Amino acid sequence: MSYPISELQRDTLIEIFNIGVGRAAHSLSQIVQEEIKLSVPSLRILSFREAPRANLGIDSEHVCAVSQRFSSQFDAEAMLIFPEGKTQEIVRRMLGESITAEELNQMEQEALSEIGNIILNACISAFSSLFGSEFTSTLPVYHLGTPEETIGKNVSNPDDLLMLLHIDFALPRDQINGYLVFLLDLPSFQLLLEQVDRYLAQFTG
Amino acid sequence: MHASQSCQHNAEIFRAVADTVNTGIIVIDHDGCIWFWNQWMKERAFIGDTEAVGKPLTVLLPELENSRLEDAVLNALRLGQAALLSHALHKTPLPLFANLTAYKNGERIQQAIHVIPVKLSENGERFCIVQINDVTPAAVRERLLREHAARLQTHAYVDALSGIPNRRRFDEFYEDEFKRAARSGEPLSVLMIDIDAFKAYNDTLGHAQGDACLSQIANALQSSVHRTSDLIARYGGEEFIAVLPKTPLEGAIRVAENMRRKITGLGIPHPASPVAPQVTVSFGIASTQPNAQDDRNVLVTAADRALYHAKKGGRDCIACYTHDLHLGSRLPALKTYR
Repeated sequence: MSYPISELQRDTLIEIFNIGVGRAAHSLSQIVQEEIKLSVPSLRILSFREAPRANLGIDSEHVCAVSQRFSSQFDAEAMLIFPEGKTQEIVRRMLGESITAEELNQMEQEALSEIGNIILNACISAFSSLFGSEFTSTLPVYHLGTPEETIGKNVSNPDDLLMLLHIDFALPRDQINGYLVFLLDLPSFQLLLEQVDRYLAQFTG
Repeated sequence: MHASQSCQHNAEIFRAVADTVNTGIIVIDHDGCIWFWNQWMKERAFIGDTEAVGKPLTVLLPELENSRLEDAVLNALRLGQAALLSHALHKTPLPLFANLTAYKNGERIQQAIHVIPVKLSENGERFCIVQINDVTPAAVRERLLREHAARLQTHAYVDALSGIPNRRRFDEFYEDEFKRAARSGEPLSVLMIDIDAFKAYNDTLGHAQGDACLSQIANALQSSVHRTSDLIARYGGEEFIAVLPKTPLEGAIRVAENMRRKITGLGIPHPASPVAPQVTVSFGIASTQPNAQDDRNVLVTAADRALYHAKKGGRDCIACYTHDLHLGSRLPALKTYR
């Protein structure tokens, strides 16, 4: 079961997210001076209630997550999630040094927090500039745990919706897959879709 | 107290607090100009607040143009987004120095930076706070730990599996003892020790069992040498090596016989052994009275060749050179003990 959303709305959201992560990829590439490509190929909407692990498609016991709270006319919790262990590869590549696993753990948290910060802010900026509305954000918070508790700790109502996107992290020699999760309550999601419709109306007249 | 007085008082408290905290604080107004530059910044940037205040960050510090920090400040002011510049990815974005010497040498403080948007009211103008933390102590600690780990790595003397000295330890120990024996004119003996049919043991009982066996044999060998001047090391695979300073051939043979008895006594079952129902070992011994200019390898090679003869002679035995190596015979006399 999924939340009713038209193909056009879905495609528009994916498009906006791709604009966002494209900018984030540019920023990340500048930091590491190596080409990093980010893309968001798919989007699903489901309620937290119907989102046990199997349904999320996150096949990992533990995940690392960076979350930020965004506020506008409505609030949303945004998360960048990677299966545990995958993040080490990303951070190792970003740091570009030969470092041991123990050192990596130390640096992983802060580096990943910043990577998440760049990607999440860029996605929201894309929404801001296309919708002409303002979203403020808080500093990123790092979390390690099972997918359920990582997502669940920000859920107050099981009817809250999850906007779940796959994000592909293409490093010069590797591809790492993660997830972008946006948690919204039902009214917030309706507001988001209204803004999508308003944005589309500019083109259809 | 009048309202204006209280306002002024509050401003004084703010200034006192902001100038006292052990962290860098830059407040940037809605137009992107520096509005406040705290004492911590003055002391570490070597820039006073009269020079800093009123200027955009990139005018005061042109190197920040097109930097992630400039981006973060613009996004905070324009969009209200908070940002983190981690030390892991940036190290030293701002020209900040711990003291005058560091300033002259251009050695910057290691930094972690937060950029936080602030708005006093719904319709108020947004400004932003750039907070800079000095993470140099943590960064230095991290570097020291890394160097220490690297040093431990190269200086590790213990074999991880068996817990006895490893090949590297043997190399250094043997070199020292060879020189010492050459100086003192005392004999030096080397034993090469190899577990019989160990491949067959592994193949039949598995590698975990093989590891356990190696470890047991290592302990038995270790406990067979009593002098602190002797060394038992894992040479590689299922091979061990013993260095016995101040020990002539006869003494080395006695040590080997003792070891052989001990290992047979362990009674570790070896169903695939062509020699005995339990795990056995073979020994190759070489002994010499070294000269300083002698090739260090000769003694070890001789012990290795003796071991080869022990293996060919049926295993579970001790083979040794009965002639002094300096006689240089091409086909050295070998004797096997069982």
